[in-house]
Amino acid sequence: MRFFVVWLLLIAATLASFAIGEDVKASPVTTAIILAIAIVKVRFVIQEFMEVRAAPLLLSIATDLWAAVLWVALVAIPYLV
Amino acid sequence: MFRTKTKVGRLPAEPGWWAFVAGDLVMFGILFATFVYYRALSPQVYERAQTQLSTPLGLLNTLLLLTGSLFVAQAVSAFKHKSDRSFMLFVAGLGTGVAFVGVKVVEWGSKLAHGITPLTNEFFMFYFTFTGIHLVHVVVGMGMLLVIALKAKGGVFADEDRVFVEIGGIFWHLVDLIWIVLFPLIYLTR
Repeated sequence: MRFFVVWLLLIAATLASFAIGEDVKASPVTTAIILAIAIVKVRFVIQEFMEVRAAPLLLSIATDLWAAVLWVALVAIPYLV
Repeated sequence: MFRTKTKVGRLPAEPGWWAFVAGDLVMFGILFATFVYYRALSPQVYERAQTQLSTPLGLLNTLLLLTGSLFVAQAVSAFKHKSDRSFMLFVAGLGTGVAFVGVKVVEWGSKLAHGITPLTNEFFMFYFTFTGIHLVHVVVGMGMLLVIALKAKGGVFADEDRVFVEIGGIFWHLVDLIWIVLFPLIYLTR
């Protein structure tokens, strides 16, 4: 049941980011939002499906760090070029 | 999410496997950052090229992988509970992989039919390279799912198979989560 709820949230988030990508005029803000939705989805997959939430805390911290650094990099790099 | 942390966590699969996962995540992270860097250098080229992608097919593939991840998460759990449902759930997960590859063949086929190749421009070089590396992951993941499905078929659910089942499950979720970033990055954002 828990996996099913997570899956529903992931599907809803996917459709939301698709709608933003298709319907909203592209801008740095929409890009940041769409990528933020992706990072939240990634965290759900890691924590729930990969069962990291029940694993040693260090693994949670390491995967969260990767996701956070990735989001910052993808959003910030265009401003540094 | 829904964090309910136990005092002493149990590492699924084994430490060496997580080292591989970490390496793969870092590699894709660097690839994605490289894409964003080059896109920022010539945004008009990328924006024009992006309009030639089929976003609905990319969306369909996202939904397929998410659903496959659900099946595989349930299959791994069923295996640990020695449930006969495990086999069919692994087969269902495998089915989403087959469908993903089918959609990708249609998508790539349509690009090539229109004369679009990795040499067309920088955007399509990235597009074919990233989706190609990801597709290799999908195919390897399908091979692993097939092997663990067969392990779940006999109804033995041996303890020594449990680690391998978890390894296969984690790899399939890795394939899913890479696509979760790849799809919006290449298809949706500018």
